[in-house]
Amino acid sequence: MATIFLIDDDSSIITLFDKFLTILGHEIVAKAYNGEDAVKIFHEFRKIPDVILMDHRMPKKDGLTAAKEILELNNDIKIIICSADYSIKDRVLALGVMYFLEKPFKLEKLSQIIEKVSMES
Amino acid sequence: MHVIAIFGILLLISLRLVGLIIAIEFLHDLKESKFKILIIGWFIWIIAGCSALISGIFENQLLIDIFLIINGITTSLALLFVMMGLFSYFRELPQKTLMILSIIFVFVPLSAFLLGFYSIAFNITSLFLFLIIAFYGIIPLKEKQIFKDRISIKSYYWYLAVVLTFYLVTLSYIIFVFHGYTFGFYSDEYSIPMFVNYFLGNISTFVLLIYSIHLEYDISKIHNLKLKDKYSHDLGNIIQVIYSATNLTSVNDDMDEEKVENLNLIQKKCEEAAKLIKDIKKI
Repeated sequence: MATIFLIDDDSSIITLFDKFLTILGHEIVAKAYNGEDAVKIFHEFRKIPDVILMDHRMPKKDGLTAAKEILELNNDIKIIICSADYSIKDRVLALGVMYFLEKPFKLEKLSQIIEKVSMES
Repeated sequence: MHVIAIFGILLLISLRLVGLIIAIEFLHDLKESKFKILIIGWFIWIIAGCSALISGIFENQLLIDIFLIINGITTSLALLFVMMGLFSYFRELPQKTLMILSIIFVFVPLSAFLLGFYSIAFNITSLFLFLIIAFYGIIPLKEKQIFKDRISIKSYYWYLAVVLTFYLVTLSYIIFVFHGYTFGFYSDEYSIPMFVNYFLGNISTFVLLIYSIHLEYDISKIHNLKLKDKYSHDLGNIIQVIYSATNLTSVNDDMDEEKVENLNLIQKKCEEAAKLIKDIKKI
């Protein structure tokens, strides 16, 4: 099972993803509510999480910028961007993000993607 | 006054009146302060046209000169306001600079005129006019990326067209002045420079009008696209929460048949809403 870092400015989404992924046996190692905090928290990790699940439209720093900065710190990190903003998909994938998941989606789909991404080397 | 001059000025006043009406309409619809600057600009420009027209009524040289200097001052002042108003679409309006420049544009030529240096006063107003045109002509070289990112490349090309026509007016004016023609080109023997001057003046005003309409159209379009993106994104997030909550409830609980049916109905409607959001994004 994967260790996951959840980033979304909508606390309800964080809570629901947290509950669902915990039921599936994943471990939520940290949560952040904007891109700026996400990068700060990532700096402080002693053990890098297996997967980062990140929204795009967030205050202070958007997902695209935060993902870019995190990937500059660690190029191997697996990031999934889940956003309702489909127009950023190509830019996100060009950055080196593993997967773009368009909101809204079924939680079942989320678990499949996390499994797929965490299994990829 | 020569018929070409009368016709040219009347056409200019009509075009400026259209500019004024458009700016008033934009202010009424969008309530943005930049339109007040544009309204002032177009209004002063109409006064400029009227003063040129009135100068042709008189026989007395002093009265002609008074209306010509009013025409010179108001033309440079109007162009300053209109260009500043259009400039404020992609840069914050420098209100202090606008105020200081307005004072200089009015009082420097007026002082020269009152001291009896008529020719110098006319040349100062022309110089101010050329300086505005030269300054706003440099913008496209510096601001192409801003046009591209914030507005559209089409507006950029219209701006280039505005600059080009203004440069042509300036160039023709300078050439005629060097050939000994005097300010205004209103005398009967000046029919060729008069025609060229008013033809180019009308063309440049017409292009400026198209540019200002194009600019507003592009800005409104971008604004609407941003709103569409924002609303579809926010709606997507809300549906994600409902979707996830119902998914989670169906995973968690042992529920009777009716509750399962209700949850399935909510999920089905969430799927429909998700599809609807995708359709909205495609618009």
